[in-house]
Amino acid sequence: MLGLVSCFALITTVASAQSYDGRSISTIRFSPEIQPIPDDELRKILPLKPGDIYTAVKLREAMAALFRTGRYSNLSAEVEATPERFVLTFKTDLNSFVGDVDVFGQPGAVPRGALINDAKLSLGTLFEESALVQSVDAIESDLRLDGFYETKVRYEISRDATHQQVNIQFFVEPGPRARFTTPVFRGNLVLTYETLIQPTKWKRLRGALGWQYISEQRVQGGIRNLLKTYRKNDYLMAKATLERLDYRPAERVAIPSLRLEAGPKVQVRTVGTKIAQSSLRRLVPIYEEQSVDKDLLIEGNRKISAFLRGKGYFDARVDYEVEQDGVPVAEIDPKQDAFIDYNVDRGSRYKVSSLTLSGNRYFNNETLLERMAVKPATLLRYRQGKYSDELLAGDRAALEDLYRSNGFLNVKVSSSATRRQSGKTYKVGIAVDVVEGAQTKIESRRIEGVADEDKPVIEGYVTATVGQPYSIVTLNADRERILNLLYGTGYSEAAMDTIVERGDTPESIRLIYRIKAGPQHFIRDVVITGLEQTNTSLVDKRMRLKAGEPLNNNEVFAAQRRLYDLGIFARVDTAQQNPGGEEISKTILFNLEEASKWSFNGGFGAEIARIGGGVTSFDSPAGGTGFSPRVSLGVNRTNFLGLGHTIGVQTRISNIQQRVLVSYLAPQFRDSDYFSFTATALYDDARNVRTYSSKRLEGSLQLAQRLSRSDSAQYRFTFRKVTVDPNSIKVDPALIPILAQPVRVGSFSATYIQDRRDDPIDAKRGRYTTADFGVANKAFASSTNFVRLLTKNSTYYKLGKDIVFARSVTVGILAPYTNGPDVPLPERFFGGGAYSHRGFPENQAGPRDLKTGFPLGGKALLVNNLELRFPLIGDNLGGVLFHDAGNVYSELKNIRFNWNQKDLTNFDYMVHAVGFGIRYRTPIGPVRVDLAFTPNSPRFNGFQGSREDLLFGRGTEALQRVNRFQFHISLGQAF
Amino acid sequence: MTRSFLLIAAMLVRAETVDRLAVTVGDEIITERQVMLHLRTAAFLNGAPLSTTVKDKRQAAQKLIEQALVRIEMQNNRYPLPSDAEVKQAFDSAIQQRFGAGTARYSQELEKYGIGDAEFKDALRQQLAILSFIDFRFRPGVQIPEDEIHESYDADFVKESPGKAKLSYNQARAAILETLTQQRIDNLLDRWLSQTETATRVRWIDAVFAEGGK
Repeated sequence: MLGLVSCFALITTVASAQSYDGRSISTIRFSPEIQPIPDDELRKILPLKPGDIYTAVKLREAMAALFRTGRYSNLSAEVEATPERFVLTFKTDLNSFVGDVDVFGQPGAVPRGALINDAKLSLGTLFEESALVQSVDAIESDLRLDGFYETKVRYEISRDATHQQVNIQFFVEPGPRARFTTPVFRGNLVLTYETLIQPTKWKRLRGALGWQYISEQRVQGGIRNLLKTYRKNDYLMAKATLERLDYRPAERVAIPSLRLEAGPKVQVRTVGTKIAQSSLRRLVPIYEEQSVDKDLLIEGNRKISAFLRGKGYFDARVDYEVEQDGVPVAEIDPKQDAFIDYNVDRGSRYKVSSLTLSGNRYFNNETLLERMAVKPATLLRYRQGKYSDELLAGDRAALEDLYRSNGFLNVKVSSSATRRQSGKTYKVGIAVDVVEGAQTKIESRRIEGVADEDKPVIEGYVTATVGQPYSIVTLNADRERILNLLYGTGYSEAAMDTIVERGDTPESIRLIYRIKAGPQHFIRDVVITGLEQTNTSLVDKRMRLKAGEPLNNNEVFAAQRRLYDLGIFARVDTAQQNPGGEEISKTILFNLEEASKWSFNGGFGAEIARIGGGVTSFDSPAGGTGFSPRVSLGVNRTNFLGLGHTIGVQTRISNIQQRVLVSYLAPQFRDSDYFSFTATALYDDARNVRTYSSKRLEGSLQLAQRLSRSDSAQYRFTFRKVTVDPNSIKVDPALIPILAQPVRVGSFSATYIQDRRDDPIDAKRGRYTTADFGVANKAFASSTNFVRLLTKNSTYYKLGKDIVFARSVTVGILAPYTNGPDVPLPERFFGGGAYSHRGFPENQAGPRDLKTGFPLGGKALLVNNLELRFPLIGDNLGGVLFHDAGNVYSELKNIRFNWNQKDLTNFDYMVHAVGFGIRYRTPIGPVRVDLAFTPNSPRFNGFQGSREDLLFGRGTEALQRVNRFQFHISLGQAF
Repeated sequence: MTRSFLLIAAMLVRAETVDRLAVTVGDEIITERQVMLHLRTAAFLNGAPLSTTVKDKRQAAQKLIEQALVRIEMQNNRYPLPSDAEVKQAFDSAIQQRFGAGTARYSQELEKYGIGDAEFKDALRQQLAILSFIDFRFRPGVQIPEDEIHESYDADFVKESPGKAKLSYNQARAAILETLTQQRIDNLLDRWLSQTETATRVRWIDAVFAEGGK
């Protein structure tokens, strides 16, 4: 009987499994035989090996080690034992991991990405089908918030057994969308229903078009606006709570029920000085927080004081008082109306007349002043300067920190502020004294935690050396370099402690870099999902991650960047599969979402400049103020043929230009990070030079090469045919047959670009150089032979913290090199305008027709720009003083620097313009208004009369001059 | 003949399941063998017959889950582990309590319950570590107000028990304080375990706890 029980127990549980402790293991097997972890890695992970002595404790450790890999959902161990052999078999059930997650059928009002995020299924994490119920709930809840109350979501999963991955697709049937309807307001409203309903904006056109669709944004926006309405009416403690949204399926509407409690009226006043209500609303946080308590009122004290200090009232004292029912109270009663009086004693108005530093030898004044919040008064930006005892204390601490982080551990910074009355004004002089003390040096440096043979490699990345001044900056840089090295070689869990110990002398320290490299990880596999249209090889070629190599996270992100750079993916997710699993090798996942194939863009704008004047008449050869509205439309087809190339058509229509550009772009040309190829075809009908209208047909092939981070080159072949409309050309009739000839130009050109600016949109330091050289030759089907060189060099220098001096010079040369025809009119240099010489209107510089006065362009160009850029008011408004000098010249040999124009027929002289500009900083670059005064603007003979008058020698000559005042409105700095 | 016999014998050799997962707690595992060992150890210490019903196994597994949660916390926050001397002291005390001076009986009983000496000592070490953790983690946060000690004294000590001398407040205070502190610690531990278990992925392998099933 006992034996029977024993046999039964043997089969059902491990409860009575006999002890095999002490047996020698002959073989270890896995069932199934093929495991997700490679055999050699399994051998490393398992603490049991063939030949080892078996114990139950060791077996459990082995099972625990296998489980910690994260690859297994269930494990059991079996033994086949005979006197001769002892076979241990691990039976495994595998985990699955989240792969591609997608949502289909979502309504247009809800972004797909938001629903994918709702599912909370992160790429590579453990997949559990039971969690999908929560994902479905979350998606449905999100859709309900946007009015889709009848939404239904289901899911399908597909398993990729090879990669232990599960792809999940959610299918949404959104059903009809509900609208708002008359809301129910409960509670102590105080304000009328109509006053409250309007600000919610839940009605379309105040109800003329019915009610808006429900959306989370509108619901929350409505509540915010209700509170705002109460705030405007001084109900600063008003509360608005959405109790429910009752959906009525029959009418497809939802009724919002809100509880509104207006609370007492609270009015904030200032006593002792006048502060605008708008400023008070900004300064006293009870408005923003919609709550009145002691802390917020004290914060109001602080902010009002700071506000007044900013205006020079450095001694301003502010305190508040609460009054209810005509008597002061300590704590506000939330049921009664209240007045909050801020009692302000501004004190005298001061100006920070001086800020001097002494005792500093290691850092110069500029470095220290840059870190200080206290500012001396300046003409425009800080009219009173900035000062308070708190600011000065903060500055002392900041300077001491700076010194300490550079090894001056005993530094002392003290300060004194001297106030004096000088006539009617009060002045504050601030003196800051630095006692640097001795600089601490590194006495010894040790690297711990790495094998001796690896130390030389690490040493190569360390800059802190014995005898060098101790600096936290150096230590941090070393830390970053060492960790980057380790991360790049598969030690993704590496950590490093920097330990600083006192040295043998008070001025020395001992430095220890303690490295915890952790395990080295390798790449097991790279799995790419989500490709539909895209050629697989396009993605494969951008992967430099290879199985078996150390896992370099920097390279993972570089591959992600390369894929984004193709411009064909809306999303490139990358993750490690089974991220928490203790595996030696890791599977890297890339889940891609292809972007929409078609993209459209459109825009409209207008140009206001001296571009005006009659199209056929001869008035305003130098341009009158004109207005040109502009519409642009474009369409792009990305990922053409799955190759990652883009075909696009861009059009622009204005009353001075009609343009169509067709382009074909192959980024990362031939899978190189360094090359891109572009082919373009252009049709352009323009009158951007006032002298003539032209039609241009142009085709070009361009190869762009990135030489380094800052340097690039472009090589291009261009062929164009330009036809000048003979009826539009406004020159001496004798020149029309020459200048109105159709022009065919075939040219090969190369451009070198070096961009070392700190910020291409608004540079503060660095330099920018371009050089373009082209040859037009009959061999390229050109009707004329000439060479063209256009170079530009700009440099930027910081003068102090906020002032920038910028300079730029542009030189252009056009030279025919055979005895053929002259350089055709459309190929000549035209200059002047917002981005060139601001003393001229757009394209108005240089030689002019002697009969009509219209610009003819030149064969040489020299423009020098100087600018001083400085802050004006606050951080966003700046000013510029500029000087532009130069011109477009008839020939290279005719470049002259003389001030005066020789006569009315000679334009080869240097035109100077000085001016002032305003810049308003925006995220897309500064908005610019420039006003230029040109004392020596060119004079010339114009013509009064019609085209017939010109042809038949009638009409009269009229002395004209390019206006000495020019204005330019544009975006971005001039250079 | 011999070969045929060996062949038949080989065919009769069945694979025996020696251990399998019972519960997973985060990255930790509890195997069925551990569950059984827990039951055996408890029975051994109490001198009770071994009972391995599904309910017993579930209860044992729940205890082991709690131990695992404590172990994870101890590892994460580097709590000190009991020294060998402490384990020896606890071992001697347990043996003394259970068997008096007879170590021979200890070995017999261990064998009877199917427990190895090392396994038993390891179980003791775990218990000690957990007790030390509980003290370290929760005791500093327990403050018993004097009023409460008074209340407890008034309720439990003020009446004279027959045959027992009535203790003054000062005499009873330390004992009352310790009792109340232990109660608070138990409450805190229960709350902590409940919260930690909710926040940790705990998965029971149903097959291990199925009635009579595999």
